[in-house]
Amino acid sequence: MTAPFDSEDKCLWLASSCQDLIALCLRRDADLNRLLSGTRIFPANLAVEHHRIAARDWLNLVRNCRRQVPVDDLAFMTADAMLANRDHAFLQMLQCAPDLGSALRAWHRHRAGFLPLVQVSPAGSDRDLSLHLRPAIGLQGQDAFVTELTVSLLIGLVRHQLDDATSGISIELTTQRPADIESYRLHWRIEPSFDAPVNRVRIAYPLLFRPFAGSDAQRFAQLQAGLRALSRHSGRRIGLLEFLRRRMRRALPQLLGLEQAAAALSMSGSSLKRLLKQHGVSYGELIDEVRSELAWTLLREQRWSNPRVAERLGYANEHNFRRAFKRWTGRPPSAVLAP
Amino acid sequence: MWRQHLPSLLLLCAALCVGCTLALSLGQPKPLSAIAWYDVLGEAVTLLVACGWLGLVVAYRPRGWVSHCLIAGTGLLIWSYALDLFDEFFKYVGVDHPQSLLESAPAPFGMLLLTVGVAGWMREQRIVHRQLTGREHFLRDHRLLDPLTKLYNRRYLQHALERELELRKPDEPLSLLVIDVEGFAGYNHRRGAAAGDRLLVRIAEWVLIRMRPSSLLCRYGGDRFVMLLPDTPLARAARLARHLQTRFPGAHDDAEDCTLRCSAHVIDGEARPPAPAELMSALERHARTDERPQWNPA
Repeated sequence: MTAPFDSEDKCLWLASSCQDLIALCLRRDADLNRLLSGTRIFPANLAVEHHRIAARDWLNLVRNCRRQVPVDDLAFMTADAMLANRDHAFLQMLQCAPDLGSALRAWHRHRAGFLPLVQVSPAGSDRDLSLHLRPAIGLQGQDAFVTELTVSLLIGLVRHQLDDATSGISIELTTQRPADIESYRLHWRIEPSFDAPVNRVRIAYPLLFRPFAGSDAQRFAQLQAGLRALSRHSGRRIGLLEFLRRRMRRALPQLLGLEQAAAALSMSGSSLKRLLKQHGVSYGELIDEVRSELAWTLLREQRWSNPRVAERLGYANEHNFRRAFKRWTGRPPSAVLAP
Repeated sequence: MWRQHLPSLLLLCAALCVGCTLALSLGQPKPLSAIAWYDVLGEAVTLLVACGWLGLVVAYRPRGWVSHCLIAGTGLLIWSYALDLFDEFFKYVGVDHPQSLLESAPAPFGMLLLTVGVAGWMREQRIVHRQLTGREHFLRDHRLLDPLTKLYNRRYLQHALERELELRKPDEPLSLLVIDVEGFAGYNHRRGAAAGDRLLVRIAEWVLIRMRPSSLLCRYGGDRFVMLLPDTPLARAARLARHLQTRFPGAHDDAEDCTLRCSAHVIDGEARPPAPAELMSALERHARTDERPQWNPA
């Protein structure tokens, strides 16, 4: 087993996206030295092909960029620049997929080497596919930027390949509703809803099967093979938090203990605790998150009854589950069952 | 910036060296007890301030006759003050010693040159300010500038709208022009983000030279600009809109299939003007659906 991806680990995707981000900021009068300060990236590194950058440095760079170029649509513009960048094999591959469904499958398959900061977990209902976006490692306060970037990549894909057909998509963000939401409207052509329990993109099923304008089966296969070779070379590693969430979810209705999880990572319980603290979460919060997400999906999408969900999540009785649910969301389970 | 001024700085250094050698060779050192330390302090501070002026001019001003005047003026002052400081430490024998002429003559010329330079600077500022009209109305706040096009952003537009709506007389129609770059997303995608950014900057410049000085152009966000035209009837705004739309393809050969889509709106008569926030969201809705905004029944 390879160890999960951590803040100090390096990745090719981070390097190529950081070039787009830096070029964008330099065109907006930012100062290169200030952008790179505290990032362990040097101007000479930027010219080197296949140079890799650690997640922590990338996040520091994002923080510097947001300080130097204080515009509210930096994440949207970065996503546009990345989609237009011909050297970006992962995004080029998505753009020549036959349709959105295949593109998302390929995204999921290759996520480990190319988008290691976000965990995108799909969940289906009878009407749409919903993608939950969670940080796969601690994002050091840049969560909103990373989420906006990921969603913008997805929306950009749809806008370019499906001729602006964004009407089948809805977006829910956990951030507070900002005073000015025009940037979202301008760039996404969708008004997201805010203060949601989880970052989520919902895509209507018909949209998944509409053929892409730039579809190219041969190139799609070629690029996928190339990416497979690259990720075999660099190891397929998913983010630490994603790794733990998956283990926890698989263990339910049993609760995965801290020591068990630590053993899976070949470290002691206290080291894992310390590591998680660096990522800004505690073990208990992570378990709560997994349980609440599953509860939400089962109640809302699968229409399970409360006792059944309680049993699936490992609660002794329905009463305990209802209390926990109220603690997570502020509302009883019956309230989320929207018509 | 300072490298541009290297020749002038070298000349000044050479002149100061000559001054020092003259002072050392012609004067006799005073005994320590004869030195007036308060004078030394005062003259040294004056010299330092003059050096500070020179530093500011050299660091922040591009070359040009105004900069030359300012540098020459401060240079002469520095020379004068430096020799002044020296004669606290050296004694010159005789009443009309050539050194005292060298010391006091340059100062008035320096002052004169500085005055001419500052007057030129003011004129220059006036011209720069004239260049800014069309980009700026009543408020100057660099935090509201769009760093790419150097136009003001949506928040500035909101401030400007608020002010215009408040000050508007009933017989003064206020027009708004929404300018969208159609096909920009595709252009950006095909040609890359750098080319897209360059196109936006060029479009902003191109629109700026086609509008009246009383109007204000702001970057609304993404590929949308909004022009505010105070005291302009709808017909006139619509004429400008048509002009921009038809002239755009000819003026930008490499814009491929990008076109400008302009729509004009007016707030006129006694009707209660809508609040700016409402107005902005009405414009936004309008731009997406291509319906006429609610507040303009005409």
